[in-house]
Amino acid sequence: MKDPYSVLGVSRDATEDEIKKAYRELARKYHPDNYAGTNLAEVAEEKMKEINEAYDFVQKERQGQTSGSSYGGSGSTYSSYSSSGTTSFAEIREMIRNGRYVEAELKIDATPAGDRGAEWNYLKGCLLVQRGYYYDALKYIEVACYLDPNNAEYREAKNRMNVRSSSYGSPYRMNRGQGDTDMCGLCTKLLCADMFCECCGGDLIPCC
Amino acid sequence: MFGYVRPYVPSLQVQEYEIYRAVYCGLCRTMGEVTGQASRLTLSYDFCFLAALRMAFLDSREVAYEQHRCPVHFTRSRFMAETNPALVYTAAAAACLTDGKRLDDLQDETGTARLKPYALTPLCRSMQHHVQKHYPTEALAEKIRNRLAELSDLEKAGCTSAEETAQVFGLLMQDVFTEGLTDSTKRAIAGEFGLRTGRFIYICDAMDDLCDDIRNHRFNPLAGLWGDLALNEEGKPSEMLKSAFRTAAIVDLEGLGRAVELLPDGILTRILKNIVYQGMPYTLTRILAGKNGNPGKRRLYEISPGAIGEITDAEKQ
Repeated sequence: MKDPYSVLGVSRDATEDEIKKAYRELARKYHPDNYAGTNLAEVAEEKMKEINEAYDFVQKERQGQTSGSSYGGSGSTYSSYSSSGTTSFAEIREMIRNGRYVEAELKIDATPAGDRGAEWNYLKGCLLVQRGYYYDALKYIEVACYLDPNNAEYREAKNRMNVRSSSYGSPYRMNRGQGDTDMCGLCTKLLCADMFCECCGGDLIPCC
Repeated sequence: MFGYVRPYVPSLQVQEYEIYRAVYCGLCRTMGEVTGQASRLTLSYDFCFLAALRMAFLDSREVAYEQHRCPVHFTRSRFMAETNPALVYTAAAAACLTDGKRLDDLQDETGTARLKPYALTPLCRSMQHHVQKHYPTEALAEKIRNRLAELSDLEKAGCTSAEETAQVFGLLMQDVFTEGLTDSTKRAIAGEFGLRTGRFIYICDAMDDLCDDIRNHRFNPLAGLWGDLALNEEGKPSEMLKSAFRTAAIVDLEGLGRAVELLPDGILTRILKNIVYQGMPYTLTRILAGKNGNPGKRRLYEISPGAIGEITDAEKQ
């Protein structure tokens, strides 16, 4: 997801009129009618949607009602792009929770090396799991557990992965060879047979 | 190529074992016919896996088994799969892969290690020469070369993601497994088999060579990913790495498990299930125990009490 101001091509301190003008310009350019019947119709439609959303967002933000917007209700996300410095992992968690993985990944990769502690490793691992990159993901989760062995959350994530893999292969041939193979059953049967033989006057096991 | 993909023999039924051997011997014989007698030396269990999979796709009328004599085991005749399209294709693919590996080694290796690809050159030439009469391999050879080049680029760039390199090798095997299949269902199943098997082989090889590669400063995807945490104080792979490696490899095996369930019923499918559900986990156990994952051709298995149980017991903790 992009910064709505950059989508519209205006600066953050642009006036209301400038924004309106930029929006009209773009809307005319990407209007679906211009692309009707071409292979690019879908791409254009996407672009148009993006522009509309950005415009709505900016309008709402300016009227001070960002909470209900389609951008997950976190208007602060955008301002944080420009403010470099300390990393807020809570913000990245929020992004992951809302399914904004690409954004979260960009942010996590931009984290300076000095801030890459246990939590950074854990979140990086979560994002890689999301992408299906298990060989890499498991490394980061393991390292998170290593750096912070007492954290229940990291341990839980590691265990979840391990449990998932533990049942592998177990259904294979589970229903075979489960007949009466144990020795107790065998002895019981022999004794029964001996008893029946004795009833009939014979003897299968001479000693009893 | 590496021999990581093999059945766990103690839990095969006797007839399944016979059929597996028949496929192995049949493939060897077919390689003699298709790519020349000398090429039989390059046979491995991984190719046998490909042959078994492709044979599972064939119509049952195309698959036959017969007693034959073989020059290596001349004392008594053996039960072998008769030459069929699946075996011919596998022999051709084996020739391409061996040649691809040779070209790759020729580029990457230095010093005495370069002798091996040089020594293989005449054999590969003769294999390529023979195979053209039976199966056109240009398209496949081209695909393999491209993937290996891609892999080599990643390695040269010092890629620190084990996932990316493993994926490229997986895609290479996907090309090999799906080549020549027209039916879309078969293609999808074989593709999944190839991808997962390739990734598994690649990562197992990386794990197997980890210590050597680090000692000799050679590229290793796991060493790149883990950095200083790869080895413990004793110079053995660290517990963290082992645990992560095992869990991630099982994820690939799960993919194979899903694919194997979609195969048509039959004895070959039962063999493939054994390989996927027990043989490959057993390879993992061996590698993690620090033994070479490839126990050699003669020892197809070792009877160790609870060899498979070991895995599950350890996991319950």
